[in-house]
Order: sequence, then C-alpha cells, then structure tokens
Amino acid sequence: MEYDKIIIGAGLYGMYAALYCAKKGEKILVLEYDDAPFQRATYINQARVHMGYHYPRSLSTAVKSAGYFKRFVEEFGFCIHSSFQQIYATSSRFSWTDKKQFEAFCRAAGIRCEEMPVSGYFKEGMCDGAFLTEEYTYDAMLLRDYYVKELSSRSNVEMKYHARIRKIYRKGAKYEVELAGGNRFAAGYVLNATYASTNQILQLVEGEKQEPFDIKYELCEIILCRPGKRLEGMGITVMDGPFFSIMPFGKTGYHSLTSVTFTPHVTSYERLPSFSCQRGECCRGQLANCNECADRPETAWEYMARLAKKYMRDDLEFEYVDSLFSMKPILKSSEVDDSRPTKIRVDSEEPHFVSVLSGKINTVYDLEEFL
Amino acid sequence: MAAEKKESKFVSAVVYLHNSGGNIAPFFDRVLGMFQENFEKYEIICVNDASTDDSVERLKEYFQDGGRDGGRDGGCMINLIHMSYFQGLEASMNAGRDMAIGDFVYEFDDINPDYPAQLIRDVYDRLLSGYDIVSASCKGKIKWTSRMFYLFYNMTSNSRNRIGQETFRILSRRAINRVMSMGQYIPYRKAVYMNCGLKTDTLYYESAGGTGRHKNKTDRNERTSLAIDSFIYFTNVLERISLVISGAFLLFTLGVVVYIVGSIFSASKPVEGWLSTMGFLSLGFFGVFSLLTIILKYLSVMLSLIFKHQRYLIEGVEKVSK
Repeated sequence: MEYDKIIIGAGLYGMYAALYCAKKGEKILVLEYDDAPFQRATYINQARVHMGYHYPRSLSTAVKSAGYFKRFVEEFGFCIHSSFQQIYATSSRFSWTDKKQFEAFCRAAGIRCEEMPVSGYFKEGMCDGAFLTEEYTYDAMLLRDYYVKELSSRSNVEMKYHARIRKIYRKGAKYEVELAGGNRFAAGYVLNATYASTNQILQLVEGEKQEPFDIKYELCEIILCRPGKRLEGMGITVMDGPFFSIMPFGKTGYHSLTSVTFTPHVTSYERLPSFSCQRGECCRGQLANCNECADRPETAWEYMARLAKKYMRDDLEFEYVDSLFSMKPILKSSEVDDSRPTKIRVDSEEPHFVSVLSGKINTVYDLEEFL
Repeated sequence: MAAEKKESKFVSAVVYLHNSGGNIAPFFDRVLGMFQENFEKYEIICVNDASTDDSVERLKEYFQDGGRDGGRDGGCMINLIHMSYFQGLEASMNAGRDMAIGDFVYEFDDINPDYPAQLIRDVYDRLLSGYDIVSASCKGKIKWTSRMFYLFYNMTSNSRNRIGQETFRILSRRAINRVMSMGQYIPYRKAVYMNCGLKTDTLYYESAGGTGRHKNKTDRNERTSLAIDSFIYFTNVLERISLVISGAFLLFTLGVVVYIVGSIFSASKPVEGWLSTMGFLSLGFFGVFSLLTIILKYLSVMLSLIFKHQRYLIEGVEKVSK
C-alpha cells in the first residue's frame, strides 16, 4: 500500500499532522500502537494550555507559548475550560525564582500577572507572592472525539490501531514500514510523532544511522482528585522548584495534582527506556501503555497531598479519585533552564523522515512548516 | 512488635551527611528498620553538606542494593539535597527541614547510631504524650568547652528550656510552623526551638558505642563564632555585661565628682587641676566607647536578622529511591 505520508503515533501531534495534511488532499496513514488515539501523554499530563508562566527561567519558551496560546484557544475552544482562577505562587523557600523575579519575567514576556493576597490561598510564611494569571486547561477526550470525527469523515485518511511496527527501511525514493504479520506500507514521508517512543522508532530504521535524541525517561503519575467547594473554581501552581500544582483537568470536573519530586516515580537515563518493571511486550525496544499496566507503581498520593496541604490553606480541600501514569521523555539539554523546546528533526529528505518531540500541547503549530 | 498497629501519621527524617560515609549503612539499617516497623508512610531527606568522601556514592549504593533484594527502602521516598558548598550543620538542617512534608519531622544531626533503635520510637511516643519538640541527648562525656558553653548558656538564656548535647530530635508540624512564623533567621536551631514557646522535653541515653561521637561537624572558628552569636541572639548576657560596665563607669564618675568637690575645699591644691580633669575625661570616654562597641554588635545582629533572607544555598535536589 502506498501513501503520501505515514504518521506514527496517534497523539495530538500525529492527529494534528494527519488532519492538516488530509485537508491538503494527501493520502495519509496513521499507525498507533494502542487501540485508540490519545491514550498516553496527550491525555495524561496536567492538561495545561501553556501561556508560558511555567518557564520563568526560559523567556524564549515562555514567549513562544504565549504566542501560540491565543491561536490554540480560538481553534480548539470547544475543549477548553477557562472559567477558573489560575493562581501562580512563588515559594518562600527552596525556589529558584522569587516574587520579584517572577513579576519581572511576566512583564518581559508580556503575560498577565496580578498580585493577589498570599494569605487567601496559602499558610503563613509558605509563599512570598501569589499572582492571578491567565491560563486554561484542555480536555483531551473532547479533543480526541473531534479528531476521530474529522478524520473518519475523510476517505484519504486511514487509521491503523494496534499496529506493531517491525522495521522501517528505505526502498527507492520511499520508506517502507513493515508491521508484525508482514503488512507493508510505503510513503515518501514518515513522521515519527511518538513522544516517549521516539528513540525506539528511530532504532527501527534500517540501513541508516539515526542519531537518538538525548533524553531521559520518567514514569510519571498524575493524580485526579475531587476539589472541595473553594478549590473548585481555582487552580494553584507553586513554583519554581520541588513544589506542586493542583488545577482543573479539562472539563472533567476533577483537578489534576502533580508535584515535581513525587510525580516522576522511576527514571531511566538510557537512550532507550529501560525499567525494572518491564515485561512481556513492554521492553527497551517498545513501551507498552503504563496507565493500563498491571505493574504500574503504587500511588504517591500520600506524598503529593501532604506537600500540597503543607502549602495550601486548610479550607482548600480535595480528595483522591484516581491515578494516571504515563512515560515522559525529557531532553537533557533543557534541564538547566527548565525550558521545553519543541524539537523537530529532519533526518532525511527525499524520502523524508521527520521526528518531533514536544512536551507542550499548544506548540503543535511548529509542525506546519515541516509538513 | 509485628502485632502492633503501624502509626498512620506521616513522618519525615532529615539526615545530615558530611564526610560520614562509613556510618551510612549502620545508621539506615537501624532507622529504616524502625520506620518500616512503626510508620506506614515516611520520607527520608538527606542533606549532603559538600561531602568530600564517598558519602553520596555509598548512600546511592545502599538504596539501590536495597531495591534489588526485597526493597530496603520499602517504597519510601528518599531525597538528597546537595548544598552548594560547605555551610555547616545548622544551615544544612534548616534546608532539610524546610523541604520536609511530614506531620512529624525527625532531625538527625549525627548519623552515628550510638543509641538503641527503640529510642527513635520513644521520642515519638513522648511527643504524642503532649510535647512539640522532643530531643534525644547523649549522657556520655562531652568536651569541657561544650559543657561550659551549655552551662553558661542555660544560666543566662531567656528561655525556660535548657539545651544540651543532642543527637537527634523530633518536631511536630506545629512547632515548625511556629518557628517559621516567628520569621527568624535560624542560626542555631536548638536555641530557636527552645525559644518558640511550645512544650519541649529531652530523653537522655547512655552512649552505646562511644566511638568518635563528637567529631566536629563545623570547624573550630565557626563553632566559636556560632557560640558567641547564640549568646547574643538568645541570651541577655551581653546586655548584662554592658549594664555592669555602664554601672561601673557611673560609680567611677561619681567618685571623681566627690574627689573634685573634696579638693575644692581642701587645703592642698592639685597641680592646676589637670590630672583630675584629664583622668575623668579619658576614662569617661573609654566607657562611652566600650558601650558603643556593644551597641554596634547589637546592630550587626539586627542587620543580619532583617537582611539575611537567603539563609542557605542549595545546589540541587535529587531523588535517590529507584
């Protein structure tokens, strides 16, 4: 079978690329390991539509996020939850950024930042500044439904779930992707949009040396909780250091709770993810879905909740509902300034092999110039 | 023991590491064993105060080995704070305590486990019986300079609670909040804790090992300066000294006045009155200057209280478990 483009990975980046190219009339094949789209990092993260507040030490990341924020909110308004107070605060201790620096940063990035009384949200002495900001959350499931509907109505897009890729190789002016069972698909353009599996896909390319991304892997837990009355219309993020965030999770009515120290459970520093919990189909060469795994780690709820309660006023209540797990690749070069650049790498042209690695939903537009 | 119900309270342990690699295994064997037996959830925060030996490697090795043969860490969180450079016990432990999230926080100033494991539980039980800070103090021999310091300190301190040679202590969250809301620069934890106005207690024990207990964690100069600072911060001894000095000079001034008055009426006139006038002036000024010295010292303390915002500098925080 021949296509114009083969897209590997049905997360937001893959689906966005598929729809974008389908609209141009190209014939597209999307290959996905799981049985449905949006099963991993697109769904399992803080669901933040980043305005840039998160990166007070990387102005470039912040400015870019802010630029894309507006476009994303306009285009995907149907899945955006915006009617809540998003509070950012700087911890009095252990923070890499203090109140003044955060204010100065927001001014430089041109993003909203109104000072609020710290005592309205936090216990005495815990934070030195609290700010009302403008930041929203998206609902991954609504976004998924939109893409499934849009793509299934187009005859030039084919979705293949439960795809087990065996190898990728060059054949003439095209790449061929071979699945377990022997099915082969060819296209002059392959997009590797598999996030945590990026290096694993690169490794399947035969005949040419594909440099793996310099990343480490963290198995992360996002906790869903039911907010109490006061916390309901509020999101709280304490930064920039070993702190936490509790904010609405899309339109689900739940809040997501995460913390810098407790959200990552296990880390692998190797180029290909290798963890002691891997067995069966899940191995160095192929990550299975951590959220559906029977061997997923025990929840760190006790730790995260306690950390949040150490900071937040006692009348901001929340209770445990569920845990979601997903694998998160982190570019090692971004550790110092805590930036989250979108990496798009063209490994070959004619035929094209392009890999994308991005930790943020609203920088998906970066892809366009490569498609 | 096994039948006993585990405490559901969340406990943090802050552990000071400075070139103490050799004690890591025995210390954690004892403490972790105790914690696993008694507490459902706990975290360990190690503060590495710029160790130059293999402490960090040994620590990582210890917990990684544990992960393989049946989970020595018992699934608990182990964090390691790296201090930017050597900053001494006090600053390092302040950093560790600020990071702790537990309802109760153990502070292990020294990782030589010369006490029975049961003592770790005993201080906890004591705390629950109605105290906010409970210390474990070694009864053994201590250096005479330290003894003099504690003696003199306790005599002159404003607080009703005494301080002594402490190996570890446990604090309630309430005590930590109190100390934080006092907004104080904490140069010397023991003294601040004792001054926070909550109920405190000390359990004494006989040192079991008695080897190398009192190795200096801070160098000599730093300890001396800490001792002097503590007197200024937490006792009124300098205040009293200045009072005595000004009192003495007052008396002296009075004496000179009496002498001058006497010499006016006496037959023998002193040589043009130079001696008494100059003597009075110079001694009077001496007194003023010595008082000024003390005032200056007070001012410097106030300055550090107000302006020393960044109390410690950490290099980074690292997760050790798994």
